[in-house]
Amino acid sequence: MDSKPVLEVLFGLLTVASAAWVAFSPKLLHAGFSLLFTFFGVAGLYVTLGADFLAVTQVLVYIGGILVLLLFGILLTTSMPSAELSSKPARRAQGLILGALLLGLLLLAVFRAGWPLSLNELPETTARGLGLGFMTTWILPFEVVSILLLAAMLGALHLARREGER
Amino acid sequence: MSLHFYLAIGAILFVLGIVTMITRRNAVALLMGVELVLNSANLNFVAFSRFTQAKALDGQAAAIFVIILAACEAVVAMAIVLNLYRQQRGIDVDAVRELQG
Repeated sequence: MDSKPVLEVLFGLLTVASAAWVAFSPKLLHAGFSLLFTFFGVAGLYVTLGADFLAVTQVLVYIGGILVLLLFGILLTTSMPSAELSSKPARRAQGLILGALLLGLLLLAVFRAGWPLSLNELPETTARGLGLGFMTTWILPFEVVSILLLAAMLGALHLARREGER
Repeated sequence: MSLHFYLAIGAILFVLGIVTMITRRNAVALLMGVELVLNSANLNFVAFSRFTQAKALDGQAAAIFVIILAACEAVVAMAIVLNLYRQQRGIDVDAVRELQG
């Protein structure tokens, strides 16, 4: 039996459920850890889509980098990380109504639009194709992004210094 | 599984990210919402590059650029959040009323 549809549904459910907990969890630290499962679920979906290199990048950069940064941020900036998140009921209702409307609109668009469907043949591993692409077709954005990374790093270092050290 | 499955999951992720950004008042929680939205966009990129007639790796390359930009954004935003905490002893985004260098 082909296990691919089962995996897809499992990863999809994991992603959606943990993302819902990120949005609605009453405790900030729980939301942060729930985000780990969202990122992992998305990485699994990448694998089912045949994007192996991207899945590994997702795990390395999002879980290994961004999520750790966010968790450090939570621990550094809240006196009680497990403290309740204060969110006014009125604001919560507004958010939920707007979200429901937006979701309806998006799903309508997704299922009504006539996408030109055709299954693309992917190579066995995508790393080679992506590497060649970054050195040829996408060389300009690749270089621009490397400068942007440097700028972001210097900017973050400057911003994070204490007032007196500037 | 078809394109619609992935697009639907992308749409749900996007909406949950937006809801997070609307309802939460904590700056780090807002960042989590942004990451959810970026992930949903990435999922759509990869799904489209798999199921439509685009060149197979274009969507994946776009997704990698998005991941790089997300990393930049998270680092700079976290530096701002730490500064905010130092100035105000809290990171409620509604309490921020000043923009000073």
